[in-house]
Amino acid sequence: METSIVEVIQLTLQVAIVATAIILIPGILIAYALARSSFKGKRIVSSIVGITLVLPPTAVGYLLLQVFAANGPLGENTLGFDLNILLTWKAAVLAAAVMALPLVVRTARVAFEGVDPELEKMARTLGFGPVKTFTHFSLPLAFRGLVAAAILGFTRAVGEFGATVIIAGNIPGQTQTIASAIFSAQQVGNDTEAYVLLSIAIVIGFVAIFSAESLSESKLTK
Amino acid sequence: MTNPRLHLSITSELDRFSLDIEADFNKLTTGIFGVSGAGKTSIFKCLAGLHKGATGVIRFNNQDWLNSEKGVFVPAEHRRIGYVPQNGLLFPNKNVKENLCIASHRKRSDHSALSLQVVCQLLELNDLLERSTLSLSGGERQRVALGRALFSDPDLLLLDEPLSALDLQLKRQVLPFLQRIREELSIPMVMISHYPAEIQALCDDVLVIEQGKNVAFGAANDIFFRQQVLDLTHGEHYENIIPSIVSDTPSDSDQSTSLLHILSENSQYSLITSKTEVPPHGKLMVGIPADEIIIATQHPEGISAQNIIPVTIDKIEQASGQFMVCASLNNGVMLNAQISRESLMSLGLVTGKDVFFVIKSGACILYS
Repeated sequence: METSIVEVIQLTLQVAIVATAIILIPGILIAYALARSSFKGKRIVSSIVGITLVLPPTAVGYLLLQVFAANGPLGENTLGFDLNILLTWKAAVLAAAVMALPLVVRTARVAFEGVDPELEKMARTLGFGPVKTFTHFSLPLAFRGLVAAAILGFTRAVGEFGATVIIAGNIPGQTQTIASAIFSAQQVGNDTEAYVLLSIAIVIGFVAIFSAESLSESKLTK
Repeated sequence: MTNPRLHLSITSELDRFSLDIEADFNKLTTGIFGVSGAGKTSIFKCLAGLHKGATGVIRFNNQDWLNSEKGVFVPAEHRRIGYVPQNGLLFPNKNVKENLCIASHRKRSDHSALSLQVVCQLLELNDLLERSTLSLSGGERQRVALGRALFSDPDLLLLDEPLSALDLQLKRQVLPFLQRIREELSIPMVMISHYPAEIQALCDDVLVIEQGKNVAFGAANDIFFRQQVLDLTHGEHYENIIPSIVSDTPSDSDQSTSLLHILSENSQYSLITSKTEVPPHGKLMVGIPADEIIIATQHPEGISAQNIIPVTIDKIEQASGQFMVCASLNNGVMLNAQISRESLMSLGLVTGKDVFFVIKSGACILYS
């Protein structure tokens, strides 16, 4: 296999893994809050978290670009120093994280909603405080759904293109992921490379969806 | 701690009505009785600290669990409650043993807490320990839930309808375990039920509630015959619960009945019941539904019913069209028969009259 393709796969996995790792814990906490507590503006929070699911990815990319541009709220001129994110692999992580977060939150929220709140109350009467109840009971009881959430987030990150290409560009060896590499290969008519990348994307996608499906289907067997 | 004191003075807005309860529980076991939806479980949620909306005072062993004036609210995890909810609520991701041991972290070492061995022996759980909770029957689930509550070293046991979800067969299996807990461990207990018989079998005192309000409070063996409580229950499902001792039955295998002595071995009262499922010896509870008892003013002759017990009528209470005839045997055991207005009139039954209670052996339900 060509080195460029290996690089593309490496970078794609790296970006997707880091992005998933970054959003997993906040995503789970947001999901738990949305599933369990009722607070003012819950729908607003839920909508803001979910909005990137329905916006065109390029719109999200453009928004992020404005935020991190020199004169944006997180730009060099505002902060006084350069975060040095745009057009690097970190930008690809950022784009993937933002686009994958709503999927993680939604899936995790469903997982928590599937846990009987009475079981959590039972844990409280057995001497577990709110934090221990969450870590010792809610998390293990929702575990399968949470793993499925992570897998779906990961696959979304692997496939992210629109927002990535705007803030990270499509620089071979630096910010080019499978998605953008397929686009480039198609543009220049390199069908062989496109086919190879396509096959790899199918394999990664199939394994991920298959695992998520088996997790949601199989009952607790312990 | 033989005389625990639980003071309740709470109000809380519920969906359909407001909860407004004022009571002092002094006995070891107290029942909360009310029809479905009367607010019984809501009281438990307040006691357990799972319902934040309640205001007022809850004081247990001189410690405030709730005192809204002083801003005191002890969270659920610090109340040391052994809560047994209706459906058991076992953790599905843990096996029986893990469920039982879940709260072992809060056991007090200096305290004569129950060992796992004792709990398993008491509730006959040894064969279940490695099982998945999903494979348990209703009665087994209830026993595991009881075991988990007991093994968590509680100061107060809360049992929410521990028997109601079970069919008669399972009730027979679980009731003796509850009686063992009551007799062998001196852990204060509050139990919810909408069956008078369950409360009579297990509780000293009863709080009767309706629509979230106190209706009556008193001893379990008498409260169900107060007019205001009869108005609530209509005497339905009333079952006399009688502690009995099985006498040594003759080894004759043709014998289809068993002889039981009511209350004590040398009791002058005995009961003949159908033999099936009677253990060879020992104590058991006999349930006799009030509407299964026939009243006769003379000793009946040539009758198939095998139990004819002479009693004196203590009182007669009305229960929506029917009448509850209450009589106590001279060893303190109460028996109640439910009859129609017509029967009451034609027999001329009045307080103080000597009559016979006639009971078929097959009408006796044995809890062993």
